[in-house]
Amino acid sequence: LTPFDPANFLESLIRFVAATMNPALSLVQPVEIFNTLADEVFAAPIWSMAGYGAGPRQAWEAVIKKSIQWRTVGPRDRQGDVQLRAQKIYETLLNGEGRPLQMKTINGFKPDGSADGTWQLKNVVFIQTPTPVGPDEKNRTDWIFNTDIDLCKLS
Amino acid sequence: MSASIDMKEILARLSLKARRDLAIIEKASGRFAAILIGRAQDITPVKTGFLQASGTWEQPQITEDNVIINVGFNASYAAIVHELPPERAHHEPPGQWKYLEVTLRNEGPKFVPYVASELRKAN
Repeated sequence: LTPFDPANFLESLIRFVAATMNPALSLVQPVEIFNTLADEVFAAPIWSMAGYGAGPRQAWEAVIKKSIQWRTVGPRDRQGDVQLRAQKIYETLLNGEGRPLQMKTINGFKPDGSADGTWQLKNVVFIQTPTPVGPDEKNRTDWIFNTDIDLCKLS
Repeated sequence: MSASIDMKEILARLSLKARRDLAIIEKASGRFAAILIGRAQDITPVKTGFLQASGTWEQPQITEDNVIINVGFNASYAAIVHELPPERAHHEPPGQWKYLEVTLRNEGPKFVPYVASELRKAN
């Protein structure tokens, strides 16, 4: 099995989502994917994603499970923009029938932007749909949804 | 030759059993929710204690093929604390972010076996 590199996967996923969004979003800097740094670098609305623990890794399984928090924040006076951005991100993880993606192959990228084979999103499970969680610690509108993703490295 | 069985009493007993089973399921679900919220409260971040004390659950909704019980925290800021990763906010251990999600991931799969075992015990 190809060793799982979470940084490479997150980079690949964020690029897939950015390209799939309607209209597609061009990523200026990869720093946009990092939860903590994005706050400081970008004007609103910004968005970010962060992986977090998803229970014990099952070494005998080829499928890796990854939990990801998707976060969109912006100023209080642009709540509509933030909500719309969150919804558009959410929709990139749905198929044409409005169901969560299954068996979706995406291009792999390393954090420096170089190609890194392909990943397959076996199954996307939404823990919830985009939800406002209230003003954050900097008094901004904060929308969040969480997903569990089963994935594997194809090449 | 003919024979007949009066089904009325059997049906009445079956109906009574179904009602008793529903009551057992309802009670077991409530007990499970109480335990689950207790476990979540163990790892809820505490500053004033209001968030921790706001843990609650609702009456189970029982349909023909499902049992749903809503659990959660009522504090208005519960969601933001739940979603604040350690990089953005300090949670004094054992308090942590995702205090409800982590508990649900750990305890949720035990719900059906627990209710089933309570049913078996009662029958």
